Amino acid sequence: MELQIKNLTKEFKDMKAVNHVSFTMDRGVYGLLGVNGAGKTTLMRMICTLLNPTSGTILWGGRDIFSMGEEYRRVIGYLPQDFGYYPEFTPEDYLRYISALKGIKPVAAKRRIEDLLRQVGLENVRKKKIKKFSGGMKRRLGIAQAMLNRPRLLILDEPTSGLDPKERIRFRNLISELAEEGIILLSTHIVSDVESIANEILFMREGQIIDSGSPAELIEGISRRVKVWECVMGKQEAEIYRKRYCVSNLKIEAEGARLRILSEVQPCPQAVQSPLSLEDAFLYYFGEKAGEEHVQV
Amino acid sequence: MYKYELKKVTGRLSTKVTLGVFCVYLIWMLGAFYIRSEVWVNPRGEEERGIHAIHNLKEMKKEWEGPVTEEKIARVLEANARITSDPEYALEGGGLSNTGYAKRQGFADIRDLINQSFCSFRENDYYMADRLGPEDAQQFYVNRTEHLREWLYGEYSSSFSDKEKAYYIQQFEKMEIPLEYRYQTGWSKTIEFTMVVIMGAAIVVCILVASVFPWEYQTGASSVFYSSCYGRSRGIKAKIGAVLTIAAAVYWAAVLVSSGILLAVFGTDGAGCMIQANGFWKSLYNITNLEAYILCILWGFIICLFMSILTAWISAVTGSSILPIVTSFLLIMAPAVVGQYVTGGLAGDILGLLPHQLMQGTTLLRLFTVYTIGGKVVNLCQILPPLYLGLTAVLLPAVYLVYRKKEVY
Repeated sequence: MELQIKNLTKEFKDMKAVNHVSFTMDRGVYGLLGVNGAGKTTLMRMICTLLNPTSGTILWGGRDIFSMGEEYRRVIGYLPQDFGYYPEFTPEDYLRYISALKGIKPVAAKRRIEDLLRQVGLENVRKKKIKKFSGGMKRRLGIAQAMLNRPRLLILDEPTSGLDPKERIRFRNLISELAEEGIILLSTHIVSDVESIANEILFMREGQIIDSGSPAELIEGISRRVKVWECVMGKQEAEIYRKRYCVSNLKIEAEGARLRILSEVQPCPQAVQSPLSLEDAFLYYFGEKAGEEHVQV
Repeated sequence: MYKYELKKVTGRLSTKVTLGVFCVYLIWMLGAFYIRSEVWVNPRGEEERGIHAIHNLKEMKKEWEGPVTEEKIARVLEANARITSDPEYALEGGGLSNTGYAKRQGFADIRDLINQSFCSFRENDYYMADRLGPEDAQQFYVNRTEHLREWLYGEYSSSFSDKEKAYYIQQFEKMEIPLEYRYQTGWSKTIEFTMVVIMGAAIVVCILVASVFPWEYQTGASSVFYSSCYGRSRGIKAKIGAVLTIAAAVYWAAVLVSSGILLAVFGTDGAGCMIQANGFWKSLYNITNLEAYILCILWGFIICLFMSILTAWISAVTGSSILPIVTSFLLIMAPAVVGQYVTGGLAGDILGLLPHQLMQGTTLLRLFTVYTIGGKVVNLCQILPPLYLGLTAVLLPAVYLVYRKKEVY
């Protein structure tokens, strides 16, 4: 079963949050990369039927998701960026409640909840109230609820925010297992989260998909337009280069500042070409809004 | 789902505080104004309060139980005249001493009936009975309809149509005589207290249910809720079920417990007596104390359900939990205040149909408001309950439909 998005648009007053977006997702992991305000969350909310599109369609197995109603929502799982919870509930209470909302029978729900609490590492705090959880624990609970109904379409908005590196690895492994059976769309700012597991990456900017492809395809495509250079220089000189070029990384070492620069031409005589990474590709597209004040590529 | 919807409400600290404050308020009102307010004056002229005082007063009143015949009225007037004319009980500056009052306690209820009978329709004179003699007893029942006629055909003649006048007189004449008198303080206090309980319960219910729907938005859980399989169907029904359950649970617990306490303290005597013998002398409704109590609490329940669903609907439309509480509070309290200044005309008619009326069953049973609809005269007790049941039935699907189409931004 595939998800087709056709010419999807969402307008709010004078602003187009999603602007004529079209793509298709089949089995596998899809990473949606973009800076804040790109339209990722709005797009995901429409896919989850939380928002009505201004125009365009979203089809699941060839059928419009808004007319499918419960039949479609039965197969999706959603973790929102701003995951909310009921403070007085325990994780067990919460997952049982969500199970009921997702139409899972109590006996099956009980087994599934046991498995998920173990998988997300919350089995020892099942009776503790959620209001006492750390941010990472709440996020893990959010991941668990999204996976309760073994969704065939899993939508995850910034799923790893608040997770430590160990939890991130555990999460990536979990996602990889799920991807064998369904579609996973996850949005993130952390390129490394999707680099190793995503079959396809979609770059989104100002409501539009500006590029898409597998990580290797994207890197290859961008490498025809820009190169990555590494060089070491004094700190003061490094500040000048930071303002003049798109710098993807600056590391202070004993010899000076090591810069990683995106540029078509060699920026300085001592610069050595280095392989392009997906993070470089991200910076190539979103350099200004990715933290750089001045970008010249 | 339904169980967890209830848990969302009951688990909150604000719920526990609200219910706690309500319980304290009811206990205080019961104790201070309904139980402790009952006074028995002992033969030495000293005021006593408490359970034993209630018991003593009850025993004195029981001596006068039975049909309120003209012969009994004559005996009461005789006894009253004997006490008021006895110099032993007279105060220097005029009036009756406490020892004299103590003597009168037994027939005080019947004395009140005599005052109501002999005062003109809109008059209230506590000392009327002191100016009467046993020979006036034969006018006791005749006065009721006569004073009504004087009022209807006097200065307020233009305020009522001929049909309405005929309706009032017919209702008055339907009252079976003689009335039966029993010690019925338990019922008078319980029926009066229903107003306090019902208004309090309605406000508490509105506070508790105001956040049932907006809570998803306030906690940020709305995305997960509405993207789930049953988020736009059974999930909403579970919430509506929770609203109605909370309304019913709070209401019946408050009403039944407080009524139970009052009836346990004062007794259930007089359940079968007509309300006209229990402070409702001019009431249009020929019903017993028990029937009046049941009607008051059923009306109260209807309006509590309506207020709960109205609150849910306002919270659904506005997405706020504060605005519905404020709106409901104003809808309950404001008409009661405004009604003191606005009594007639279109404004008066509209006020007569507002929700607070069904919360004040005792006032409703005393009101002389009727409407002529399609040539037929109907009273408020026939209009208001079906009206609010109908509005509740309309609002229920309205709440469902509002939430079914909600978007999450």
